This record gives sequence, C-alpha cells and structure tokens, in this order.
Amino acid sequence: MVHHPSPSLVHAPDVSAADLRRRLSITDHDLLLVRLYGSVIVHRLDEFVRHFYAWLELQPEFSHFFSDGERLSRVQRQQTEHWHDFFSGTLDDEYVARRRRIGDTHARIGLSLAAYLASVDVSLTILLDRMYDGRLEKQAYIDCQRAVTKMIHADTIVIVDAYTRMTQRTLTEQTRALMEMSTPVTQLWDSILVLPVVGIVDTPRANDIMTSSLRRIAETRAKVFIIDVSGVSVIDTAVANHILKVTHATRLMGCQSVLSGVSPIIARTMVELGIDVGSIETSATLRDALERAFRTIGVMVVPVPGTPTR
Amino acid sequence: MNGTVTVELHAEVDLSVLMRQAGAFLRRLGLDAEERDRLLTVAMELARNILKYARTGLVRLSSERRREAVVVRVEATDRGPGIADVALALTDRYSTGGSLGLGLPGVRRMVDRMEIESVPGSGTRVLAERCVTPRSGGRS
Repeated sequence: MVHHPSPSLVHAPDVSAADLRRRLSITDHDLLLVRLYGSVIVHRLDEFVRHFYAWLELQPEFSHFFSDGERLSRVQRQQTEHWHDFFSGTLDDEYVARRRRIGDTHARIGLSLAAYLASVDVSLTILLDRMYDGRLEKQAYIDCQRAVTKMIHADTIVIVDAYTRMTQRTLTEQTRALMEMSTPVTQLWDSILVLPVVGIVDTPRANDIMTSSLRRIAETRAKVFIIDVSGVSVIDTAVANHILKVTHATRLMGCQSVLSGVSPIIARTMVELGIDVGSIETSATLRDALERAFRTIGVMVVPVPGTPTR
Repeated sequence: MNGTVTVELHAEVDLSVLMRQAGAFLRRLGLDAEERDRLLTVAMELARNILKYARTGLVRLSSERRREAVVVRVEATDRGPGIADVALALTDRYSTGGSLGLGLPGVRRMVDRMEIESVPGSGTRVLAERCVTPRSGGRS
C-alpha cells in the first residue's frame, strides 16, 4: 500500500508564535526567566562571539563560508543582534519571522542542517555554562536554564521548518521542470509541430499539453500538429478524451491534428473501448504522419541527385 | 501462487504507481504485451472512475490458475456516492461526469465477466475477470 503526503501537509501554514508556545509549553514566566538570564549575560556577548568562533574555526564548513573577513564580521554583528533579540524574551510572530529569515539564509547558502544543529548545541553550552558567573540562586539558575533551552528549541523548530520548506520548494520546482520537459511541443518544419506523449497522462499533464500545444500553434502558425503516442502503452478513455479535446481545440486554430504511433495493441484497445476518433487523421508511425504533414503543407522531400541510395 | 497487488488511490499520482505495480504483476504471470496492456487499461479505467467519482478507493489485481489458463481479476472498491443506475452506467456514451462515457461499457467489452455491486450513498465494487493463456516465462 502506498501513501502520499496529503496536500494539506505539504502546504502547511507557517509556524506561528502561538504554535510554538503551545508545543513547547512556553509560558510568560518562561519568557521572564529568559529575560532574567539575559540580564546576566547580554552585556558580555563579545565573550560569546569569541567562544563561538573559536569552535567554529575548527569546523569543516568554516573556511568555505567564512573565508572572507568582511563577511565574518558582518555575521558576528548579526549574531550579537540575534542574541539581544533572543534575550529580550519576546516570542511573537515578528520574532518568528526574523528567525525564519535566518533559517532561509542558512538553507540558501547551503549550510547543512547538521552543522546548524551542532552550532545550536555549542551556543547552549557557551551561554548556559561557560558564560555563567554564578550570580543567581541555584533554583533560579536551573529554571533559567530550562526556559532558555525551551526558547532555543522554539528557534530550532522554526529553522528546521524553513529548511524543510526550502527542500519542498526545490522538489516542486523539479517536478514542474520535469512536467515541462515531458510536453516538448517541437517545431519539426515550417508549420509542422510534433508532440511525443510518454508515460501517464493525468489532469495536470493534460492541461499542460493543451496549454503548450495551443501556445506553440499560435507562435509558429503551425498547420499540422502531430501527436505521437508511440511512447504510451495504455490509452484509456480519459487519455483519449484529453487527446480528442486537444485536437478539437487545434482545429479551431486552423491547425489539423494527426495522431501517430497508434500501435496494433492501442488500436485494438481503442476499438474495444469504443473510442471514436472521428475525423482525426491517424497513422501507425511517425514517419507516415510526417509524410502526410508534408503533403498537407505542400512540401516534397526528394533525394539529392548523385547521393547513393539504399 | 502469484500473490496480489493492491494500490490505494488518493490522487492522480497513484495512477503511475498502479501502472508500475500492475504492469510488473501481469508480467510475472507471463502474459504477452497485448494482454498486459488490455488488463492495464481495465485497471486504469476503474482507477480513474474511483478518483473521479469517489476520490479514494483501492484497486486490487489477483489471479487464479485454471488448468492451462489463468483468470486475472481486477477489483475496484470505493466508499463513494455509488452508481444510481448500473444498467445506464453500462450504456455507451452515458456519463454523469462529463467524460466520454465509454469507461465501464468499454471495460465490459474487454473482459469475460464483470460484476458491479453498488449501493447509492455507500460505495461501489466492480469486479472484472479475464481468462488468459500465458505464453511463456510465467512464474507460478
């Protein structure tokens, strides 16, 4: 049995601040604790940057992403701003949107999710451990740690979501590209277009065929449109219906359609199904269809004199 | 025993899955290209009807050996709206869905036996059987 992600799953709405609060049970008190812990460390964020980059320099990605000194100092500045933002203890949709932009940037430059998550872990250790000066009550420190960790997890959810969406977008684009490649309406000669149909014709595909065929006919002022189905093993009534519609539409544009590549098996199946192709011309091979198309547009293909014939 | 193939249908992409899995199944039975394509067409017609009218459902292919021959069974079940008038649905060029209206009558012409059980409001089961003689290469 095969399951596909439902469209609603693929196009889930962006994570909201309310989602994050609910999922991680982040309370206003947690945010207060984040702010409290912030008061301990935000004035020493240069220390964080020092620790963090000491670690980062040892990472394999470092030279690739931060070889440029100017870029490095810009990223360090942004990072300091990020932690100020984080320790302000505000978890609203604007905050989430800012985190999402960070995720998008990381995903776009091709930084791996593994590298990102490792950096989150290191940041946690630096912030909660190395930079802590011991000034809080023991219990308050434990509570702060817990609250800061929750907030970090909230950030991580947003970032992972951004990465997933980026991947999803790439996948959608690839599918679309594949779809466009699968309906290559090609000009074979002045006023002759050919469309090889392969694989399964479903509704989006049929719409795509209709759109690109009619557009190309308008562009090239084609008089003959050859639809070659030799790459299709099964022509059921739905596929036949789609093809018939395309031929009707092309006729309205003054272009005659020829259905080619009708194999003996397909011919027989179509008869058994009772599909009536009406006045559409059909042919067994693409060669026959082409010959007929040449006749229609008044072109004759003759051998060059002196060329050895087979 | 050649097993069965069951494909759940939720979206049109599942038609490709059905084509691949059913095609492999029919090849395993040792059917020639013509028989395979005929039975694939039957499976596709029934699957498209499910997607069109019931939105979801399943198509199952199975086989049974009868002496030298093999009976291939294509079964399509759904919990859709059902067919109000089965006799009418089997009439050429009758369609409630704006299509050619040749699917079910076409399927009936392509198989040896067809049964339709349909309860309006609760679903449809279409069973199509075709008796074939495998040429060669069938693993049973």
